[in-house]
Amino acid sequence: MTTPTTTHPRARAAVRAFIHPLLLATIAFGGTTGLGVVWARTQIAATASRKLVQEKRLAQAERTLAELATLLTAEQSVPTLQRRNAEWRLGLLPPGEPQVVRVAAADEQRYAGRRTPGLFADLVLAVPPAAPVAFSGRLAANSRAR
Amino acid sequence: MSSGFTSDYRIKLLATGILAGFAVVGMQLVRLHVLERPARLAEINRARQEVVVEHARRGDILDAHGDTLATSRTKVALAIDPWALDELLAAEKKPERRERLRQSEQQKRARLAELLGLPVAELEKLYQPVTRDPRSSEIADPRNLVEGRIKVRFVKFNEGVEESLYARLTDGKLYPQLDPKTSQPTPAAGLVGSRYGVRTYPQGQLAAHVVGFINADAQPVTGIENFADFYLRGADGWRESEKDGRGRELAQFRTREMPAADGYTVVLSIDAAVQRMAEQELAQVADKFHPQKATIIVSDARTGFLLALANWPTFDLNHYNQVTPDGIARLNNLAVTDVYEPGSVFKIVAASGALEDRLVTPASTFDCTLPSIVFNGRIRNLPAEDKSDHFDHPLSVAEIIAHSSNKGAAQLGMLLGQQKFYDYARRFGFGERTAIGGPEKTGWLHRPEERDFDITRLPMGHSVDVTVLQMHQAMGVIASGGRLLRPQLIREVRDARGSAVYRYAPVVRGRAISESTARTMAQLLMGVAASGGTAPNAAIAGFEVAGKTGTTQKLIEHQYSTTHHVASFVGFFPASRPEVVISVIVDDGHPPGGGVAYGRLVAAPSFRHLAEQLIPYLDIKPVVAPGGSGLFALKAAF
Repeated sequence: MTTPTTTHPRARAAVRAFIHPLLLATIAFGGTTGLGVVWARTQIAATASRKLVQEKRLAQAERTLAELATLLTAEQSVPTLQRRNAEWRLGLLPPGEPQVVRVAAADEQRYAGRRTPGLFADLVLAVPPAAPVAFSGRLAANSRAR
Repeated sequence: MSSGFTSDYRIKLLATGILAGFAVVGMQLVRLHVLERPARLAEINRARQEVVVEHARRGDILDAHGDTLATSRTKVALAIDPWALDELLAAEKKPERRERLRQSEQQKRARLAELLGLPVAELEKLYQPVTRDPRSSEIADPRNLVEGRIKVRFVKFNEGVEESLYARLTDGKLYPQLDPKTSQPTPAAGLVGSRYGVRTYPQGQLAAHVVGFINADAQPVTGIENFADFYLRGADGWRESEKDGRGRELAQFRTREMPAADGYTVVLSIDAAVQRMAEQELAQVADKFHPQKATIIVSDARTGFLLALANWPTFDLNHYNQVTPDGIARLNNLAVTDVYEPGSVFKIVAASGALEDRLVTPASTFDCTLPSIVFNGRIRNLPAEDKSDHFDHPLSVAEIIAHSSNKGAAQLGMLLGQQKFYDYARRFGFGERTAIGGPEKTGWLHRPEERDFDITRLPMGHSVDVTVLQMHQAMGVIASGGRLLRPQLIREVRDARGSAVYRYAPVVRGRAISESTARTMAQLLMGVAASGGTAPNAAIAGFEVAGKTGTTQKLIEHQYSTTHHVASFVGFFPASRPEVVISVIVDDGHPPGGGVAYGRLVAAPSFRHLAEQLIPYLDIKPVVAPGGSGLFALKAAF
């Protein structure tokens, strides 16, 4: 009784010669793909972490900005300015009507009269003097008549 | 190739091994992803998944020039985790290194106390480990248990520090380090910060009743904060993500995200500078007359937009919770939540109606000495005049207004008739809300068919209740040329980038009287501030001031008091081209020398003082030429 052989030794060698590199290639490909996936995921995680850090920094900057804006607004508010005015004895006061000179004539006539008094002498208006600004406190010296 | 390498047996073994490995992996995948999927997913969701809420920033409230009246920012509440230090030391195995670490942490705590301005001993006390009993149904982490009690990990000691200070407190570089060369600098162990949003009002009490405030539960309570909450609040965002074992977000596992939409910015018509002037004026009134309450309103005569709305007493928006329970009424915007009998200022209704219907001219005369008069077949007693008024001749309509004759106003009302008078009062905006926003009273205006409708008293401003804003709005009718303009506070709504989303335009609610009647009334009202009028002290040289005084006895215990009055002056200027309307109402003021708190004594000077400040600020030009007469020739006409 003979065992039937279905494959010629040379054919088997040929199959092995094909399968072995295929196996190796599969392992190499699988390994590379696995490593690639791991690398990609690591990169994604690192990028996401960096994005998170940037987001936190941005949020912190916005919070700091809001704090600074609030501080600035408070410093520029009328109560603070009035307090500074008193503390530093600036003597600043809002302007009043006596310090305003109202000129009734049209601007062009007034300027024409000023530039060419020979031609437009009748247009030169006598502007009433404004009341001098009176400072109090340490700026009082500034309001002395010169 | 060597025969060993090409051994059939080994190849088969290797292949079998790999296949078996894949088979095992496959089976595990099936087990994890198919068979145990629901349970695993539930576990993962519980342990790793999180929904992070991104809070929207509440919009700012600005004044007409962009000055911030309300804004949002964050603060950080500080706490100590008393167990953190023990755990840090326990993690260090080497005794000598542990001792060095202990000393280093002690130095850091001293530095922390210095940065916070706290005594070191006080801070050290906070580091004493404490425990508490577990609450019923509380499942505690076993790592967080000590002899059946739960470790307290949050001992709050500061309500909130600024972001800049918190950044310093958590900056490790500012602390002495154990191994500065080999380790990352860290702050003191156990310092915990809890961030929260706060609403800040940089201008303090400025326009407190207009701006309103947010309570401790972040709920808007009053003012624009409440009325415009829809615009201001924005919409919180969220994102689905995962966290690691320490609760830190793993950003790579973010799935869905909805960004927060910050609230809109609301720009008011209120001008902070004008508001400040009004509040300073009220403070002076309070100092001088010690009233129960007082209100000043300033508005643009051409548009109805309010430039200032100030009440006294007031409060600081940043410390609204310091208002005592008995002073809680000061949180109300008195200009719209309280009503009063307007008194003589209300006479503008009867006079305007009679002129509009051409029943009288400014020169028509009335006998203002009559004690009674027949009206609708019945004898009606006329109201008494003020004690100081004795009229020796019939008064013209112009004189009735200028001298504020009660009998004259009653006769004008009777001439007009009950229904017509009521209709005109409604046309001037009485008996309905101004719709300025927020809680507001309607006032009380009797209908003609009601028994309390008294035609002899109503024209002089008795038997009627109005809010200060309603009276201001009514005077605005004359200033705006007969149009009933809706008083408005919001000018514009802007998105977070500053672009205008909506702009509010002047709203004309109707025409109360014709333009010519309004001009005639303006002329008549100039007589009040002229020599011989009831308030010559309201006049400003070079500017035509039109207005009306009012002095009302207060109703106390169902009787009109002779010692408690509401004094008012409501007017506008310049009369020939009105720019601003100003109302000054002083409730229960007491003149320094005693006597009745007449509108001319208590309110008119404030009107003038405020108007004088507004002239240069708003650049209101005089209409009266130096040495000449105004555009309205009052004396020549009447």
